Amino acid sequence: MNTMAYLFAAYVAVWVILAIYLFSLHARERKLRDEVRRLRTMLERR
Amino acid sequence: MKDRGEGTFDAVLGAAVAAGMVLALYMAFLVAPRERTMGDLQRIFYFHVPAGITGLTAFAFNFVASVMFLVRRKHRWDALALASAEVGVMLFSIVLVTGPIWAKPAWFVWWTWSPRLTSSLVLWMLYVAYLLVRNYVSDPERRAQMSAVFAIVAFADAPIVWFSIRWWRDQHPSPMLETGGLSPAMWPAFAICWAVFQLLMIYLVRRRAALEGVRHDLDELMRSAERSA
Repeated sequence: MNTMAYLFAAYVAVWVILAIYLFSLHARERKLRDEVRRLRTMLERR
Repeated sequence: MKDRGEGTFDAVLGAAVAAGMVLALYMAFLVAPRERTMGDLQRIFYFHVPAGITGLTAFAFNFVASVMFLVRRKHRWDALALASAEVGVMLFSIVLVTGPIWAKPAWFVWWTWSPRLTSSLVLWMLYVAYLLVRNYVSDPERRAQMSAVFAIVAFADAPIVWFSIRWWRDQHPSPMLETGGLSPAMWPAFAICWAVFQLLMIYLVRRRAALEGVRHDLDELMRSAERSA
């Protein structure tokens, strides 16, 4: 592998790690929103 | 969940981080000069070093927030501690992946157990353990208290990471930022990348801490709903 390939691999790794973290953050926000909706429905039924 | 002012601030901050990332790439690839001995491979430095410094800053936030939690016993300090530890782990993951990718062509090995590399790996593992341990304590008060104590102890490794290349002989490049080893032509690219990573860290910590705050409020609501049932 030449040095440009290593450089490319390093920058791809940065973006992949960042994307995974942002995706997990978004997924947790969505899950929490669903929980709030569920709780609201539960309270409305009472 | 969030008030409108905070939401707008986060949206502006997010846009600034996205624009800053484009600028950082432009500076690192097109403005910074080609290094004489390492060639283009040295450009890894523009994301590797800022990620490391910003990761250590996030762990310092975690330390301060943990101390503040033990003093004040307010949940928002625990949420800030958790958020900064998580973002710090993400940033140190970047450091621990890009470092070996640089090391392989430069040193002909992916990894060496030098003081800087070993202490960095230990630091990353300590904060991964911090995040895992939190999942095993169900009582929120006890979890926050235990995590705060763990975080204060874990932070003892951060100065070792920072000073390792000053205290011991190490294969890792010497601290070129303070010793003038970085060419003046490389400074603008480095400064912009560093500033963008700091902004990114602040943006992610705010988002993660807000998420934790909402989760805490929701848990409280669930508990009171169960009690009144």
